[in-house]
Amino acid sequence: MRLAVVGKGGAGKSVVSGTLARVWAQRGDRVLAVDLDANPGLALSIGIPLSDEGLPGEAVEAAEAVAYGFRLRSGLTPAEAVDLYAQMGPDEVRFLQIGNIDRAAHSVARNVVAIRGILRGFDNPGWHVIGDLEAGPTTPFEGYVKFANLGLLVVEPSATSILAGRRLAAILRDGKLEYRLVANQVRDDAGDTEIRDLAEELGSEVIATIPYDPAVADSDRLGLAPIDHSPRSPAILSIKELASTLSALVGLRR
Amino acid sequence: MKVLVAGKGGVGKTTLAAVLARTLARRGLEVTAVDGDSNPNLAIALGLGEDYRGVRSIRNELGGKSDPHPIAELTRDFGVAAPDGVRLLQTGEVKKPSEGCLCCGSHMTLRDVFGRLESGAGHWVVADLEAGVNDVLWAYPQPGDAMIIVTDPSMKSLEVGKRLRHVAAELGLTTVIVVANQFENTGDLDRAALAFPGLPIVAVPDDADVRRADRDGNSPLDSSPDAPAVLALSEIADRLLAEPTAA
Repeated sequence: MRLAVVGKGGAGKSVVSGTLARVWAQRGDRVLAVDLDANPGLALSIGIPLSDEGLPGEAVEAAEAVAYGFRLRSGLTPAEAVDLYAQMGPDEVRFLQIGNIDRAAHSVARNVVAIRGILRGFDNPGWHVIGDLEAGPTTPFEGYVKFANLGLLVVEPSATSILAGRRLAAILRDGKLEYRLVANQVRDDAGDTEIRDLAEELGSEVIATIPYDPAVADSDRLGLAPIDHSPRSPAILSIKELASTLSALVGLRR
Repeated sequence: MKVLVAGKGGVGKTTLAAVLARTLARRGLEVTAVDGDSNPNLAIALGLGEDYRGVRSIRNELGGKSDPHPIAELTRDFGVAAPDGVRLLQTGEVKKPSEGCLCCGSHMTLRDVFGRLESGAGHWVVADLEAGVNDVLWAYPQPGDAMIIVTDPSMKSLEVGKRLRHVAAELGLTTVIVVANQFENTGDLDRAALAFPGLPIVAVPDDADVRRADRDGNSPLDSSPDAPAVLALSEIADRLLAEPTAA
C-alpha cells in the first residue's frame, strides 16, 4: 500500500500515519514512513527522537531547471537512498523527513524534489509506504501525492476541518487519486454523522472512525508514540482495525 | 501595529486571530485581518457564516501578480466587511493540483500584502498564517511587528513554537507573546513556561463552547461571548495595546 495522508492541521494525520506504520511493522510488514511537513510531528508519533535535519548534503545535488534547484544525487536509486539515509525506528519502521525549519536560513527546499523522487521511485515489493503531508492543500497541490495509490483524508468533526476536507477531496480528485475518509477525534454520534454526510456528499466512504481519546492527548503531551503509551486505548484499537482494512484492500487488488 | 498569528496546525490560530481582530475593532481601532492560509478559514471564524463562500482571494483573481496594484486598490477590490467593522483580505485558496510551487502564488501575495498594508495611528493588521514556521518567513515581518505564538499542550506544538521563537529572534521581532491554548491543568501551563522561558504567556483554557462554535462554523464571540476561553482570548488585545511598540 502507498498511502498519502492529508487533512487540516490538528486533524491527526501524524498520529494516524505513525501508528499505522508501527502496527504494520509489528505484524511483520516492512514500512517506509516519510514526513513531508517542515514542522516536527511524525517522528514523535512513531517513537523516534526529534531531529531537524532532513537528507544529508551528499544525498542531493544542484541541478538546473529543477524546482528549488536540487534533486536526488545522480546514480542514487530511491531504494539505495532509503537504505542509506532512512532512520531505523521502533519495530524497524524506516523513517525519512524533509527536515524541520528551525531558523530563518534553514530552508528544507533543497530536499523537496529528492524526497518526492524517493517516494515516487521506491517500489520494493511488499513494502508499505506512508507519506504524512503538511497541513492543508499546499503540498498536495504541489504534487506530493503522486507517489500514492490511495489517499487517506483525515477529518475531525468541525466546520473548518470538514471544509478543508471538501477542498482537499477536490484536489485529490483532480489528481485522480482514489481516497477514503478517516473520521478522527469523534466525540459523539452527531460528529460521526457529520463526517458520514461529508463522505456521502463526496461519493467516498469512511474507512475508519477513530474516537476522541484522552490517552492519545496524553501521549501528545508527553511526546510519546501513542502505540507505546497506550497500546490498548480505543483510538489505537481503531487504527489497528484500519491497518487490517487497508491490508485487505491490498489483498483484493492483487 | 502588525501582528502575525503563528503555530502548529489545529492549535487555534484562526479562532484567536478572529477574536483578536474583532476585539481590537471594538476598542475603536481600524483593523485589517489578513488570511494567509491557502486553506482559508478566517472568514468563518470572524463570523461571516455562509457568506464566506463569496469571499474572493487575491491570488486566485490576479495570479501571482498583486504587486503592480496599489494596496489601496487591493483593499478596495478584495476587502470584505466582517463583524465589528473588521476588513478581511484573503490572499489565496489552493483549488487544483499542480507541479508548480506556491512561492509565486499565495505566499508571494501574503508577503506583498502584509508588507504593504499600512499600520500605526489607529490602524492594525492581524495576519492569520498557514500552519508552521514557513509562512512567517514568507510574510517577512519587520522588527516593529508582533508575533503571537499559539500552542496547545502537545509536545509537537510546543516544539513548533520554540522554532517560531528562534525565527522571531532572528528577524528582530521584539514583541512576542505566547498563547497557551486549550490548556486543561497547571501541569500543562508548567510545560509551556518551561518551553518559553522569558516570554509572556497568556493561558486560555480548553473550552467546550469554543469547540462547539468551531464545529458549527460560528464565531465564539457571537455564540458564547462570556465563555472563559473567549474572555481570555479577548485579553490578548489589551495585552498588545499595552506593549510599548503598539501604535
